[in-house]
Amino acid sequence: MSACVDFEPLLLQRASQILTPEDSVLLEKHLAGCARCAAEAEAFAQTLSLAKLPPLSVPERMSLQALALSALAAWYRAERGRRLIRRAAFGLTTAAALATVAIMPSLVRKERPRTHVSQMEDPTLAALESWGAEDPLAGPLADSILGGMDALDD
Amino acid sequence: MAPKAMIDGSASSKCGLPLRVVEIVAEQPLDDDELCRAFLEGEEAAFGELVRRHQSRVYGLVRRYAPEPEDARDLTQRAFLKAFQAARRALSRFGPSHSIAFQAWVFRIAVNLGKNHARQEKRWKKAPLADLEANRRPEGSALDALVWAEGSKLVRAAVLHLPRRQREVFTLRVDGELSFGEVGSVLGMSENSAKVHFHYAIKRLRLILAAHLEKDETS
Repeated sequence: MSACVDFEPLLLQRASQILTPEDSVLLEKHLAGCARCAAEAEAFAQTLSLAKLPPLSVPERMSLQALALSALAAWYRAERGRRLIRRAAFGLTTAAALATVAIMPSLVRKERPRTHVSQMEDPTLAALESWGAEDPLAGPLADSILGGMDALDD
Repeated sequence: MAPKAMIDGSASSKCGLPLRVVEIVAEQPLDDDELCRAFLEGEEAAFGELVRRHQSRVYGLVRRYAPEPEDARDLTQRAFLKAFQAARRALSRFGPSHSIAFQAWVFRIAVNLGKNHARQEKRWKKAPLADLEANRRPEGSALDALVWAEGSKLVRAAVLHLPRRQREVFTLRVDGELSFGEVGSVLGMSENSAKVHFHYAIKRLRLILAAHLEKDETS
């Protein structure tokens, strides 16, 4: 059994409790004379009634009375936890920053090229003097070159 | 907690006498937005007032998904806490002029929490059917009561298996007792869309019930 096509939307609005007063008058007049629509309206109402949950029991209502207080306590507990986490994170960040500051100079020193450092440290006055005192024409290479030149002169 | 309005009478009246300073205290309650801001600014009483304002409807909504009263209560509490946290985040991110749709948020969160709870615990089939006997039953014989109980069990289980949007609209309307406009704002849809989803949900439940009754009659 189905409702009249024209009145089905009104039946649904009636079940949803959003029927305007004018439509309500119109529909009730129709329901008085149409058994199919009346049965359908009754079926919608029954469906909604069956779908509804029972009213709150006494223990449920009582437990709800204390909900605001327990929720507030839970809020403050969560806030404390949040503050602790924030503090811990701040402490860890600070420790990491301090450790970085402490380690950084030695890291920078290690990263300098060794050859460059030795070159900068070696040229002392004594080393320069000894280098200046050396005979640039001494040695096997110079002898061979000079010997070659003498041969050309001859 | 009541808002105050002050008429400052620093100017003189027509007859030359100074006007009296009159304080008018409006008795109308604060709205959700004002209460939420008041709590986040340190007014502890605003928390309780806001929770008490919505707790029954939020609880009514989540117990559709949570079979045990303790679970439903826990979910209700978590929904409120998450809504307050969301409000604080919104204010810190978008500035104090940002509006707080507290009711929409708390119901949206409650729907999601309920749905997740039911999914995690696989309790779809264990919806609060134990409370069947406490439901409104028609006056009549024990057989009528039994038929009513069976029908109720069937329809409630069917509610949880409705398509997502239909289920959300249906539970917000029936359990949360929200208007269609409010349902629309909770779910981010128009009022008319909420009505259409609700109508589809009723029709679907009606068909399920009719099929069940026909099956009973033939057997």
